[in-house]
Formats: sequence, C-alpha cells, structure tokens
Amino acid sequence: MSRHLDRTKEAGLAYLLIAPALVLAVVFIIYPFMRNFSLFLYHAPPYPGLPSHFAGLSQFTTMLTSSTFLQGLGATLLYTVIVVPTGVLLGLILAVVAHQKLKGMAIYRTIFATTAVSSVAVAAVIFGTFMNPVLGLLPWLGINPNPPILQSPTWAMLAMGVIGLWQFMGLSFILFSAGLQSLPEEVLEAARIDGASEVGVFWRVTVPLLSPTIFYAITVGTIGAMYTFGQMDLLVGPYSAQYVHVNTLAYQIYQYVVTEPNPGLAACISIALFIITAVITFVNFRFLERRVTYAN
Amino acid sequence: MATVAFRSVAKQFGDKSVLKGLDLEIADGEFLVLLGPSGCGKTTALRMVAGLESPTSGEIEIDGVAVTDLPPRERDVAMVFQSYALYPHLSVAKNIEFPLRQTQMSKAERAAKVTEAATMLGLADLVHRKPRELSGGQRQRVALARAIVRNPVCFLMDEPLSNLDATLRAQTRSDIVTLQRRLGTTTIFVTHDQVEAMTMGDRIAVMHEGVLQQVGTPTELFFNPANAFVAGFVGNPGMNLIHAARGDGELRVGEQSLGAGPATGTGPVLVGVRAEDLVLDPSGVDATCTGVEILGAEVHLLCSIGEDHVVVRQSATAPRPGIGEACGLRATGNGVLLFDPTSGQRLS
Ligand SMILES: Nc1ncnc2c1ncn2[C@@H]1O[C@H](COP(=O)(O)OP(=O)(O)O)[C@@H](O)[C@H]1O
Ligand SMILES: [Mg+2]
Repeated sequence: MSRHLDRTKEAGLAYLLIAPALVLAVVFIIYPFMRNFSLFLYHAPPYPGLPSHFAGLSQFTTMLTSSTFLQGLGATLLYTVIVVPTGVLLGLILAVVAHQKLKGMAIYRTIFATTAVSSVAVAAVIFGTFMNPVLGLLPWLGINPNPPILQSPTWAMLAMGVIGLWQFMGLSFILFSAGLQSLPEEVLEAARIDGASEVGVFWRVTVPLLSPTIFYAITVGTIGAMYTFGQMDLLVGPYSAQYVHVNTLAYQIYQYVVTEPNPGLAACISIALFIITAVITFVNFRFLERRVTYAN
Repeated sequence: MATVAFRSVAKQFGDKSVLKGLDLEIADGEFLVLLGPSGCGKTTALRMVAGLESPTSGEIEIDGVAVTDLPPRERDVAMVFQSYALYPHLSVAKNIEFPLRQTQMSKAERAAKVTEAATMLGLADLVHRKPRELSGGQRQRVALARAIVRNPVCFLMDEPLSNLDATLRAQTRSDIVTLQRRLGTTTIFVTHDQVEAMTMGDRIAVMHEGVLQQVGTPTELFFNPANAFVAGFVGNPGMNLIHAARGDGELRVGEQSLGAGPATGTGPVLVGVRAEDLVLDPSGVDATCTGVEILGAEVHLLCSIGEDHVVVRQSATAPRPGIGEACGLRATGNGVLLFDPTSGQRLS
C-alpha cells in the first residue's frame, strides 16, 4: 500500500517536473501547429467576431497557382542554393585551416564561430552599413550599382544570401571543427605515410570521414535557409517597390500575418513550406545517408 | 630495402625529455625489435622514422641519407599502427590499394598487387568487406597487407599484436616473422612484451625512460644483460635481483649465505639470478613464500627476501612451502650475475 503511494508520489513529482516544458510546448508549438490547420481549412472573416466558413483545400489550391507564391518559392530556393553549398564548403575549409596546431588559432576559431551566435539584426546592421549607397564601404570601394544593391533585382537576393552565408558559415564552422576533433588522427597519419599529399588526405580521407557532419550541416542549413526572412525584413522591407525579389515564403507568411492580414493564406504558405522542408529533408536523408560512411 | 639509423636523436615534448640521444643502426633486411616498458619512448622513436614527429635534435637516416626533414610521403616506409588505422570508409581491397593509388601504377597492375597481397595474408575472401565487418585479427592482417603491398624500404610496426587474443597473438607472431623473412624488408617492431621480442627479433634494442639500454640478439640479452634493468626485463620471468654483499668468496644477505660469489671485491651488490637457479635450501637465506603460480609441469614460487621479491621455478612435483610459510633460498649454477646496486651496471 505504502509502496503504491510512493509510486503515485513519484509520478506526481515527474509530472510536476515536466510541467513547465509541457506548458511551453503546448502554448508555443502544439497549439499553433493545430491552429495553423484550422486556419488552413477555414476562410477567416473580414472582421473579427464574424463566423468563419469552411473552405476545404480551396485556399491552398488558389495559393499554389498564384504568381506571388511561385515567385516566393523561387526566391526561397534561390536563397537556399546561394547559402547552403557555399556555407558548407567555406565552413569546412575554415575548420580545416583552424584545425592546424598553430599559435593564435584560438582567436581565429572564436572569430569564425561568433557569426553563428550573432542575431540576424546584428548581421543586418553590419551588412546594411557595408552596402549603404551613400555611406557604405562598398560604394567607398567604388561598387555602387544603380539601382542600389538592396533594390536591384539582380543584387538584392545575392546580398541577402551573403548575410545568410555569413551567419551559416559560423554554424558550419563549429560543426566541422567538432567533426575534425573527433577524426581518428592515426588514420590521417596512415594516409600521409601511404604517400598521400595534404590535398589528397583531405579529399580521400578527411571528407569521407566527415560525411556524417557534412550531411548534418546540409540538412540543418537547408531547413534554416527555408525559413529565413529576418534580413529581408530589416534591409529591404515590405514596402520597397523591389521587395518581390527577396520575398521568400517565410517572409510572405510574416507579411500575411502582420502587414496585410490574411491568416488563411499565411497558414497555407506555412503548410506548403512545411511540406517542402519535410520533402527536402527526407530526400537529403535518403540520398545522402546512403553515401555517408559512419566511422566506427 | 634499406638500412635505418638514428643518429643522436633526442625528442622533447615541451620540457619533457622523451628520447635522450638515441644512437641505433638497423641493418638491411634486419628484424629489429624495440623493447621497453610503456611510456619509454618507443612509439615516439618509430614515429620519427615515419616522419610523423620531428626530432628535437639529431638525424634519422634511411640508406645513409638523412631524411629528417622529409615529409612522411617521401620516405617510402610503411607503418602498422597499434589501432591498425584502416580507412573505415574503404573496403578491404581499397584499403590495401590506397598506397598504390599515390603512384603511377596502372589500374590492372594495382589490382594484381592487391590480389597478391590479400592472398598472401589470407584475405582473398574478404576484399569486399568494410573494416567494421572484420574481426580484430582480420583487421590486423589488412593493415599488414596495406604495408607490404607497395614494397616499401622499411616496415614500422607499433605493437601490432597487442589487440589480439593470446592464441591469435602467438600464431601471428610467427606469421609476421615468416612474412618478413620472405620479403626481406628491414623491419622495426615495437613492443613492450619481451616474449614477442625474444621470439621475433634478429636483434632487440631495450629502452628505458628514453635511454637505450642494450642492443643484442635475444640470446645475448638473456645470458649477458648489460645492466640490472635489462636483466630484470628480459626473460619470463625476468631475472631475480637480490640486494646482497660480497666477501670471502661468498654472497651474503645479512649473516646468511646466498651462494658462492667472486673471490675478489667486497661491499654491497645486486645479485642477478634466474628463477631456475634459485633453489629451496634450509641452509640458505631466510625467505617467505608469498604465492604460488601453477603453470602445469612447473610452478613459480613467489617469495620475498627482505624487501626483494623473487621467483623460484621448480617442478610441480617437488615439495614446496605453503603460502605464508618460511623457507630458505640459495643461488646455484653459473648463471649468477652481479650488478652495481646504485648504477645497475654489470660488475661481473
Ligand atoms: N605528442 C605528445 N605530447 C606530449 N607528450 C607525449 C607526446 N607523445 C608522447 N608523449 C610522452 O612521451 C612519452 C613516451 O611516449 P611513447 O613514445 O608513446 O611511449 P611508448 O610507445 O614507449 O609507450 C610518454 O610519457 C608520453 O606521455
Ligand atoms: Mg607506444
């Protein structure tokens, strides 16, 4: 009997301990996720308080054929293509360079890693300053296209990509630094003794052994890139005439909630984004994991 | 094939001196064992031949040419690591082929060499497996195959048998020796296991705390150790070392006689005597039996004489004291050696 009581008490304590996390999850993850589906299926009334009516998939199908959505999809994919492969490659190269046992490397390591923990606002301020058509560093260097970079259909997205790259590179650098630390040093030494040059060791041993990390960095980078909108909002903004070039899906969701409320459409886009991300992640897993070598 | 030489090689890590002026020449085709307790600098010495570490001072020579400043890939040596260091992402065949990929060799030629090496080591059926699908002994053989495939000037082996079980280790010992004889490739084999050293080496170089103690054939080291360290380290069990004193043609512990001694000389001495040359004798020195190891036909009696611990080897059928009982010990035969008790150097 007392044993039973003990166990009940124990269970009670357990629930008490997970309660804060559970409440947070329900309020900020589970409820919004569910609510998203109801917004997706119902037309929101033009004024609060009026009844909403069931719309089925019609909002979604309308969205799928809208040019705004397709353009946003293109922008999102373009951004991802700019940021992820370059970020993975540069992060890897920087990590390999910083892995050398040289004096002062700790400082470089810290500098490279910092970009990962800088907020997008900080990044936007830094790069905004660089690119300012009047006071910026780039104009000072003589690079001052007309229209200005942030309003140019050609350059705006590239600028967004550079900012995203700057941030993702820090994360990618940290991931690869950790990966390099865990590589079996003797295997690399064996390759050197077996006649491989440093470049040969890198491509034929380091990269294959790091493939789990590469795979992870690509997946995480892709998911992150698909949801980017911070620098678009901060540097270009919804009211710029040229904003369409950088109008990623995540930014569209933000706008359909904040600047021109259309909750049904916002929900549809977020579900589309969710599906796209899930598919890309799945493909990543299937396609890359088969090629990944997990060292034992 | 080549000679390898260490010329006054010293190595420091920070202010820790790991090798203190190593001078050693390995003849062409020789199987040299570098023997010493863990941490004495064997791996460091081997890694310097490979080019993975550079000496703080001194030179490494291969075939009479200083290679101290050459990177590993230009030294044409092959190394078998204690961990085997196989390429985990490559199949057995690709592992063995790896050193050949760095040469100008054609694909067909490479394939032939890989097959030859794999066959030689009994790996022919395993060539498509990944290292993680192999047993420890199979991995070890892949590491050997990868070393022999490109016919290097020298094999460097760092305790390659230490991760194998006892039976396999004994088998592999003789396999490696046979392979080395057949190929005739100069080999430096590092081990802390004196049985391996004695059974495998043409010559053995004994190291202790970064200092070379003695170089010689297994027989020389066993019967003619240069100092007390070598005497105590080589042999199974190592030579007993007993603190005693000389005088009047006798070796004494306190007032008691351990056995016959040299006619001349007096004063304290470290007496080296093999386990088979110590016998139970009530008229000998006082000892206490602290343990018995029954090996089959023979037993090892573990005894203490004052502070010194000794091993007495005798037949399993001979009478012996029980554990904790007192007994007398005496040294017999011609095998008694004398060492300086402070420097450990051989006196007789
Ligand atoms: N890279 C290193 N940095 C600092 N100390 C080292 C390094 N490598 C080896 N040592 C030290 O040098 C000594 C000899 O090491 P090692 O050559 O591996 O010995 P062994 O192979 O004989 O066991 C050890 O005390 C070890 O701690
Ligand atoms: Mg070692």
